[in-house]
Amino acid sequence: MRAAATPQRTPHATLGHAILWSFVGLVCIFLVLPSLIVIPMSFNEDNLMRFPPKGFSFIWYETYFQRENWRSATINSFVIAVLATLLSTVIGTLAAYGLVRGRIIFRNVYIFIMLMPMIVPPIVAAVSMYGVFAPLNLVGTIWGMAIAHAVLALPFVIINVAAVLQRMDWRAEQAARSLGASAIRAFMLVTLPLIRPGIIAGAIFAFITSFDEVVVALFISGSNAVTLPVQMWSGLLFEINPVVASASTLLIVLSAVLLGATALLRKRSGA
Amino acid sequence: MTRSGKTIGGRVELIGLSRDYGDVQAVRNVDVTVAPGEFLTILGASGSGKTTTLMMIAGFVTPSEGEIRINGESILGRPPDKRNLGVVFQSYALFPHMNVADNVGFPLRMRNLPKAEIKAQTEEALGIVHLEGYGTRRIDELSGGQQQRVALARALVFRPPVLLMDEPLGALDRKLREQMQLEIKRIQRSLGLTVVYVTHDQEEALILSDRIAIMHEGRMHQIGSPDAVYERPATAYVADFLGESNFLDGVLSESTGGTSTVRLAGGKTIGAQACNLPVGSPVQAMVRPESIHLTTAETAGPVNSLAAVIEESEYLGQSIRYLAAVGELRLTLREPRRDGQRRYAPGDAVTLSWPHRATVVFPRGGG
Repeated sequence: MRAAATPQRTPHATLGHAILWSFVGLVCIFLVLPSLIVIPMSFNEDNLMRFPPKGFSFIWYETYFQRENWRSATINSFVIAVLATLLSTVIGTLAAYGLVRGRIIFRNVYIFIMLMPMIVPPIVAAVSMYGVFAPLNLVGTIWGMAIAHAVLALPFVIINVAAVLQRMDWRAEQAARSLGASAIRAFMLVTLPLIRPGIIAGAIFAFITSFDEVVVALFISGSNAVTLPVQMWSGLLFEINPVVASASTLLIVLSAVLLGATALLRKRSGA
Repeated sequence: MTRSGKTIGGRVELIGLSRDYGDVQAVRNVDVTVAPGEFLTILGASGSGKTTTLMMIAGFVTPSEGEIRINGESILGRPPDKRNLGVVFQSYALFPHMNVADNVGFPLRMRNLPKAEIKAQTEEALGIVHLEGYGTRRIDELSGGQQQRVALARALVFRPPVLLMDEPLGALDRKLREQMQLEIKRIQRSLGLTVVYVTHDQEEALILSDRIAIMHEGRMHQIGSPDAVYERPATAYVADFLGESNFLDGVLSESTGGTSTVRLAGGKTIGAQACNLPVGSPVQAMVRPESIHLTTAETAGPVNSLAAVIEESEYLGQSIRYLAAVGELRLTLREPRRDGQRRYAPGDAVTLSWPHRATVVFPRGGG
């Protein structure tokens, strides 16, 4: 009985492994390596983005932390990402709860609308958001950026939270009700702790979505809410020095840490 | 809320209770009264409406029509958390992120009791289900039987007047299930609880219940004590669902005060319990396999007796099951195994006999 569970090394399986590993290799070479090339470039000694780098120094990291425009862009990015994460996580969690739990007509229509930001090309979203935000004086404000990014991040929160909600045993919430908990207390004390892994995963995705986003930010950030990706974009356009590479390296490290945290979380909650 | 001694169980009244799902009538016009301290089991196959009925009492399903009263007071307007009923779910529905004590203490916390009081009552409830000292355990460290006990303690700790149980033993193996049945019965008796219990397991229903309500396609077919529903089933469905039964097609040929007579397909007649059908109507006569004896037994009162031939015999340990042919008819019968008893073989000619009162008549065709 046990033997059936262990995979057997048939010629078929060996071929499968070979194909899998060559595919993974190709993805690494064509997708991952080019992004990682900025890491050695960021330690360049001279003021040109070049590969292989010439010498080794931290000078561009120093520049990054000293220059006012890079510093404020980094701070803006963090503030906007945190606000967008809060907004999208709260709204997305409630929306997912309603979509999974509620007895609503046109459920699929709602799901489609909520997931739209993921499907619509970023440039289309950016142009249309500009059209709405400009008359409301939201362009060039931290809150305008936070709202725009919250919209973009919403689908990731909904998908993550809806996934755990669907697996959750609703009887636990019913049990809480029968034991004397009001609807709100049952949600706060029982449902919320049980779906927490999905909420945290959704929040991390929301944070990364906002922190990495450039297209919508180019339209909405104006000159007062410049984010790190926007600063990098103008850095590439106007001052081609390796400070962009340093910023990219820091972004890669941050994203890797956050995604690693999500993976750990998934593993711990057994999902 | 006395700390020891009996809680007085509540009276539960279901009046004309119905629930529709679109065109489907899950529960149709159910009338039941459960007396204080009574153990009532709603027994039925899946889809019979038994769980829907229980969930209407608990407040998770809104009735389309009808009334639910506890101690004479309507609870229909109240949400589940204001009904003060203990509910034990099939999957236990414990809170995996809380330890045993926090699970059991949850209803007391919802009632804003002081901490010391919660602790004391939680320990008392864990004592009732024999889980003293398990308070700090995590839920996933417990066995299925222990989880079941925690669920029971949590539903009892706030001394609800009524305990609702939805197939609570379904996930346990046979040994553990039998043990828990005794536990549940002991707790129910010692606390004087009113219990409404839902199961599809007829044996469990017979063991636990003061009365059994048999439900089929949303209707209550019969409500009565275990021996009443088993020995005097009200409908052919009840007879068929509870235990084994032989159905013999025939025509009602005579119906007098205390008895009735059925002419079977082969022309033979048998005596049966009284029924209120018109003479000449097509009927089914039902007799339990264990009521039939292979030799003329000394039974009081009139006895049916038919010549038969054994077709099959099966040794079941406690009993021996035979399949016997009476002309075109086939009857299953069951004899308790006794030492030195004669074992019949296929082809043996025998006489089947059973008392008239062990035969129940149902209308045939149409329903």
